Amino acid sequence: MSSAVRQIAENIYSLEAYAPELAKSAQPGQFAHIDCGGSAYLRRPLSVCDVSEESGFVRFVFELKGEGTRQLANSQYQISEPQVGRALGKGFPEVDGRVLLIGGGLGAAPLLFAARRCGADAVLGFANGKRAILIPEFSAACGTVNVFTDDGSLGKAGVVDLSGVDLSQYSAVFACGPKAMLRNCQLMLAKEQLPLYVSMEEHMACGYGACLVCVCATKKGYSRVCKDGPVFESGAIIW
Amino acid sequence: MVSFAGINFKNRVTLASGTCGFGREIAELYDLSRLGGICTKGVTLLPRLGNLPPRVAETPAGMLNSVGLQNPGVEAFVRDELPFLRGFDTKIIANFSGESPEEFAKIAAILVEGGVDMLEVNISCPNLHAGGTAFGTDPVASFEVTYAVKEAAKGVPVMVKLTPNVTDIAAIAVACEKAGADALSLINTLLGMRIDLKTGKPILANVTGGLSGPAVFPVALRCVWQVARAVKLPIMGLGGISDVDTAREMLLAGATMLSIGTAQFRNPLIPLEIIDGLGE
Ligand SMILES: Cc1cc2nc3c(=O)[nH]c(=O)nc-3n(C[C@H](O)[C@H](O)[C@H](O)COP(=O)(O)OP(=O)(O)OC[C@H]3O[C@@H](n4cnc5c(N)ncnc54)[C@H](O)[C@@H]3O)c2cc1C
Ligand SMILES: Cc1cc2nc3c(=O)[nH]c(=O)nc-3n(C[C@H](O)[C@H](O)[C@H](O)COP(=O)(O)O)c2cc1C
Ligand code: FES
Repeated sequence: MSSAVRQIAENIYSLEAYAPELAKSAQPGQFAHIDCGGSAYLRRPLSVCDVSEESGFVRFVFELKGEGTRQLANSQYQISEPQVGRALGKGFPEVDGRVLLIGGGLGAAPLLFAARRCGADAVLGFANGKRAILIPEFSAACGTVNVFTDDGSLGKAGVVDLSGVDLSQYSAVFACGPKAMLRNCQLMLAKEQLPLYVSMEEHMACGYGACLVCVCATKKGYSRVCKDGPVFESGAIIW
Repeated sequence: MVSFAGINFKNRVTLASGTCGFGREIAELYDLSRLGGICTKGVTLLPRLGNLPPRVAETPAGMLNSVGLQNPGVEAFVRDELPFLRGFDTKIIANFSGESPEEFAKIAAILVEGGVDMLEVNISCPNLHAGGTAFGTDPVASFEVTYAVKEAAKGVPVMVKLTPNVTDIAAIAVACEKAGADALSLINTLLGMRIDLKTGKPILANVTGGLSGPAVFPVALRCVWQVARAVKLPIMGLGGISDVDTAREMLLAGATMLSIGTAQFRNPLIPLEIIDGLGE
């Protein structure tokens, strides 16, 4: 068996695929560009959520959106190593000291991999309890985990809020989630001397930096999310 | 060895302009010296930022792009990118476009001075003197651009890249031949659009974009067939080639050289598989 998929929350699936090279080489924040088969012509970017170097399996957590993810969510469908491909993009930096992880929705996925590689605490936000993902994994990998939901059905009610967090213990903040949340992180942390790294999203074609379709506006002009990112130093982004 | 417009290529396969940047990202995957040639990302006289994102929309068996010729400008290309490409034993075909015949000639002169093997003239871009319609949709404008570039090229072969967004592609091909082109490449992308049903708005920020990939292959094949029967110039065929079979069809339609674009986005090694599959 080269892959296995199961539903873990409302409309959200966990895929484990046998891709030993990727498992060995991937860094937190990097993504795979997956050939989903079926009628999806372009590959689909999914962040590496976790790896097991021993078994050679790589985990992805994804939301069912359209043609590509529908194919991946089909439990009859086996995905091969070439379909998964190699580790792409620039991930989170290695930092000395503790890291605060801020994840919104599916944005929690790459942060779990980061939590495995550094000392971290997490603040996670979801639409509601049914859409919450990876909380047991984060609890095992992190010191503290704070959960927020928009409707208060799990954890605290409201959007991700850092007011109760002692930021002085951290060397950096890693954030991934909807753009509005990332912009909010930039605002919340603007006065702190804390480097903030954000993972950006843009629609892709090649996934390896050659075609220039996936750009986002940065202070250096248009940068490629797939090659110069997806992780950028927040100050470099034109929000 | 394949002789094309007076140049000896080691095989028939090149990478299509705009789908391989300036080769650096592909060089991380394999030795560029294995390729017949590389058609580099289109450059313009001055740097261009390109269009607002989103710049890509998926389509059945293909995609639309609206990159908008984002590039660092011809001077930066010659200074920062060409020396790297020159480190490989492959032919460098420099793709470029301008806003007037004079500007095309000026860019061609800089590229020739810089030392490229061949010029690929992208006439699918808007002609500012003609209200923004593409040079390549008008035989007279196509003639003028080709003529101006040929004069500036100092003997470096000039390949004109044709757009399929025309009523009679053979007429444009004939105009380019009369103006002194050494070869033709075709096709560039087909103009298209998509609308996001959730928002009711076009997916591309630029509204329209160029269609490429397997979806355009039958159109490309038809264009190459028609042009091959209208001119004596050698043809580089492209548009939707995605495997050895489609490569063979393109050769049968009348192409001598091939260029692989969008198919790389699914499998970046496909150009090498096609080289091996053609047995060259
Ligand atoms: C670096 C990166 C990492 C990502 N990691 C994850 C992850 O771990 N989990 C997860 O659920 N999602 C992730 N996404 C978003 C994911 O790529 C899209 O949800 C997915 O491509 C949708 O494909 P589809 O065929 O189901 O949807 P469709 O709507 O059918 O897709 C149509 C086209 O749009 C593209 N597209 C649609 N939404 C997005 C989007 N948000 N970002 C980029 N391209 C999009 C598709 O790739 C495809 O080319 C990530 C995106 C990026 C850029
Ligand atoms: C992302 C992208 C960028 C492109 N940029 C250029 C360009 O700069 N100049 C050019 O002449 N053609 C450009 N093209 C067109 C291709 O070179 C080619 O003509 C077209 O995509 C059809 O071939 P394909 O179906 O094999 O991709 C671009 C195509 C794509 C997909
Ligand atoms: S997807 Fe091609 S450059 Fe990023």
